[in-house]
Amino acid sequence: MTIKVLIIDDDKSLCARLEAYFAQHDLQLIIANSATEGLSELTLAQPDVLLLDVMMPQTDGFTLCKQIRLTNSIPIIMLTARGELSDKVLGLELGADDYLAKPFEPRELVARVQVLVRRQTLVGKVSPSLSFGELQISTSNHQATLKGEDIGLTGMEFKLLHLLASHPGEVFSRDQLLNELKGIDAEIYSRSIDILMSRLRQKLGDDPKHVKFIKTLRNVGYTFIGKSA
Amino acid sequence: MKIPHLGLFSRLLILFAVTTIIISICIALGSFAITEQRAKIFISERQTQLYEMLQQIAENPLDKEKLKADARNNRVSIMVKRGTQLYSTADNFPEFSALTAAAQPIGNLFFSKVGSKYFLYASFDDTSVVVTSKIANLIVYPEWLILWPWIVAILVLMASYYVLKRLLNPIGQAIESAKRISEGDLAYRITVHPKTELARLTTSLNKMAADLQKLFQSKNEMLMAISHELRTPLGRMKVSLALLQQNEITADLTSDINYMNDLIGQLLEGERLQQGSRVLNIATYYLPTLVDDVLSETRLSERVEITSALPEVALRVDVGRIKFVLRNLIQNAIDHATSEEKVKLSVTITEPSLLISVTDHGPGIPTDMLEKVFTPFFHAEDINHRSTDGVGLALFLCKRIAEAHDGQLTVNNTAPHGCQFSFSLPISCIAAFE
Repeated sequence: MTIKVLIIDDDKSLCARLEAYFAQHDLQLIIANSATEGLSELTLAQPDVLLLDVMMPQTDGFTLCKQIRLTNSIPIIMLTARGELSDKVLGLELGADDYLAKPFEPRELVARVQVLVRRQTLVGKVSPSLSFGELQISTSNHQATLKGEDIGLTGMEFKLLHLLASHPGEVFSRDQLLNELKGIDAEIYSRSIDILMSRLRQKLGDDPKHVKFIKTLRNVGYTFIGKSA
Repeated sequence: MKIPHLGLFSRLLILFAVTTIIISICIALGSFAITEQRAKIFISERQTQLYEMLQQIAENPLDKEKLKADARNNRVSIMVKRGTQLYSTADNFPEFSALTAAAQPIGNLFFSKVGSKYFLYASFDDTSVVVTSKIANLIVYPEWLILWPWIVAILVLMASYYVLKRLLNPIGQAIESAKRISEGDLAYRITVHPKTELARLTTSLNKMAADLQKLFQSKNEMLMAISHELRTPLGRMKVSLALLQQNEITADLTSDINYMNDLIGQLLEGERLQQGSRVLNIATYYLPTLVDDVLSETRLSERVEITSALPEVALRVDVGRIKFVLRNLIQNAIDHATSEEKVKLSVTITEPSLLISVTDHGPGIPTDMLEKVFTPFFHAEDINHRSTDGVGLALFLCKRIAEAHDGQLTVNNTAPHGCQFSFSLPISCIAAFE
């Protein structure tokens, strides 16, 4: 099956060249040079992936992305020639799935489109998992295994481990963790984070003297130090 | 108090003149002021002489001219009451009955206070003589009032301090605003004061800030636009190149396009960093992981030796930019190594800073070139010390990033050869010690 990709970009020349390149990789590119054209193509052509340029006359890509997300869950890749970090953060916050700065490697764009399509079709079957040497964290079945054995985490413990492990190196304060975990248990309180943490560490087999996974930074918070493999 | 629109000079002159006059009067009054108690003692010590003087007036026939002359010479007012006849040299004497009602005897004399004035009188047969002194009335006070000249002097000083402060306020604000503008806060404006010379100063400063702001804004917009306009054709070129059969020529062209893109990106980053710490995206990050990330992402770890255990602390920094600095310093050191010896990396905490140093074993940098390595587009091929990506901006950006964090980046040669880049961050970047 040919993957259908819709691009909304006012750069006609780029679109034409991309169309030719995409054809070589068995991708069909539908071109829209304005926001209005793009919105109608979105409903007419039913594309699999949407490429959205940030800087366009009239409606900019961010506004359009927000607007599309209200009704459509199509995977969106934002394209921008500004290349500022804030653009990336803003784009992803507004519901974009990925972000690519212009000038991009066409090969990379194709690869990312394919990844997004694969992820879209495989949703519910295989979810990405995090791997840190002996430790495997599987998002789909909320399971963590150490040396191949399930360590039997509770829902809260799993959520805590997943949160820390998906941001290695980043330091979370107790309050931040509380806020993140509140979604599961509104009754959770400051002290219980410590209890939860000590149970999680016990299950991970973390020796306080030789910490492998979760490090405590006194008066600051916790950070995941496991090395991804 | 509404101050008329005088020049600053006139205002200051008036302020100083008024303050000086009032303060002098207060000091004079304050130095001579005595209490009623002291005044009575003073009178009782001289009561015989005073009594005799009054007696003389009372016993002599009433000579108005002589009385007037005496009063003028002694700076006093005299009232003589003989029977129903009443004569006084001034018209501010109270009723005689009021005087007697308040009278307090001091020997043969009577001391009497009516209103705020003090009188001294004596009665002889059918005659009474009353004396009051203008000077005494100025310097004799009840005990609770004795300090008033000093209090007034202090109040006047305070008032003039306040007025002076208000007058000079625009200067302070001008200094403050110049400081804030120099720190990059171009949106800052000073409150404009009434029409004085200083108002002109503040207006000029405000206008300067506005002009600068406009200038920077248009410069930023221009850079954004240039970036967009330059990157758009680069993007097209990349797609076209990808359509061609891949060979050495397409690889060269791709590399040139990447070079141009890097150049655009780094020029923009340099401009952004000019705004100082405001552009930083501060987050808390575990230092050993940060170093590890940099070493693993570029597979540099085999070429780097970490000389001391990394401090197990969390940093509050712009993680992406700090990684950029580390990556560039390490890559630079590796690129200029002349032997297989490993590049040395050390991170130490020594008050008042966190010091990251990267030492290579290359040929070093000539002393006169040491500071120049941080200037933009410094390509010193002759000293074989170009920045990593060849754009010539990386070290310049590294220094800007260090400065935006209130830190420093310096370089010096090490003996016998090689050089050391020292990147210091203030200790306040450390979230907390373990």
